[in-house]
Amino acid sequence: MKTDTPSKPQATEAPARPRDPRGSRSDLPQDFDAWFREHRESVYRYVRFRVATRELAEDITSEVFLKALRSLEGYDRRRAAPRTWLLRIARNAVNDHLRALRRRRSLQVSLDRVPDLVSQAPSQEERILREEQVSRLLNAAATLRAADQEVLSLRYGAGLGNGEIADAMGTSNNVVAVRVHRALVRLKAAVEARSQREER
Amino acid sequence: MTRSPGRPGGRRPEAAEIGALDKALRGIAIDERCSFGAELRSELVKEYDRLCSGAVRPLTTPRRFRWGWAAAIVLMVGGSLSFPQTRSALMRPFRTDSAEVRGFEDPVGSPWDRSVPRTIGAIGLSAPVEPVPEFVVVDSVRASLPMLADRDAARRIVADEYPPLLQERGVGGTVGILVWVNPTGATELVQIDSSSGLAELDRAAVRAARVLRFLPATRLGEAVGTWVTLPIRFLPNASEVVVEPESEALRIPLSN
Repeated sequence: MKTDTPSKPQATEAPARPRDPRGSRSDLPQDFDAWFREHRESVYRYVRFRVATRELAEDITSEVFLKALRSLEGYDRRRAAPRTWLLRIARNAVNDHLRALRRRRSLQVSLDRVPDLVSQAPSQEERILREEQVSRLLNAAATLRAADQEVLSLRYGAGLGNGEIADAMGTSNNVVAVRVHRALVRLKAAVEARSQREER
Repeated sequence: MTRSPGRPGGRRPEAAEIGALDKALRGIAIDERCSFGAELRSELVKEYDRLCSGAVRPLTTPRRFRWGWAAAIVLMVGGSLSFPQTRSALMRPFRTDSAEVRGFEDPVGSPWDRSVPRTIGAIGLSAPVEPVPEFVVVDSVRASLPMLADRDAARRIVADEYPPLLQERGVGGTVGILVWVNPTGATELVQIDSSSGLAELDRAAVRAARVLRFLPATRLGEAVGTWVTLPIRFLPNASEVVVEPESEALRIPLSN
């Protein structure tokens, strides 16, 4: 099921109350509330693209927004756009998580962990094929270097364009385009190498 | 010649292949659990309530306190440097002639080389002290000392070996035992390092040392064999036998 969009708030969410601009008790600061509605999906998608399970992605996304809320006073709009700021917090949270996992060497994504990534497949057979394809892609992506994983998850996870990735990474559009292309080439090589190993 | 990144010497993937990969990645649908947004928002509202009520401190430090923190850190660092031991500990990584480094560079430590103390602890009768796993930084290498695997078992072993006749007559003593603890934690070689003066007590100590089990020493996360000195004390009137770690153990050279 697709997530709600900013123009279609969920029925369970409390309506925004026009009070103190910092917000008030039983409500969120207005700015933060708007960012939450607008960017939650990007943050969740970015995180989900990089971690193995939906539950982990939910935990990390919660952590990201809780951290953002606690450090809201220190946020400076002139230094970064809200989405860039939130994605930066998400990057750090994901990297911390992956570092811990690498120590335990459990980065593999298994087929039973990807159903939420292939739910648009029409039939059962296609669904199984898609699950295999997605877990193959994610497992190969997990072997790439961190910079490649980062750019791919911003592009295909968070769904950012080159300009937005450039903002998030503090670089230029051209550099991002080149990095994405190179990351794709390396990913292709990693997928092929894995399938060759499996065939042997 | 341009080479494919990540494929040394391999063929360059065609644009169509990269396009297909791009399409496959774009095709990954990432669906959020439908109630997740509402749950997270309510969690955030609760957190904001706690922040407003002062139950949780925000992560940012008010500007006026930042100078205070900086001053406190400077004072702490300055204060700790004024203690010779702290200063010495901080300077240790930059010294190459320290006893630790000399000891570490030794090849397999010989039991007859008395240049470096190798005591790891004593089995004897005194006030109980909890042994703490010691991690020693020797020339940036992380190492740990061998420890008795089971202190209670060690106490029983020593108590069982105490010759009953000597115990009844109130005769005791300390035997310095030199033990090679192999990487599995077993004692392979046992030598008498210092005699108690009584052959019977010495033999009892050697018998006890042969069956003791250790957690082996480690270096860079790997178990290594090492020589250690283990004073075994036989005190007739004490109610229990305990392990007593000694600080000299920190200077033990570890070798394969």
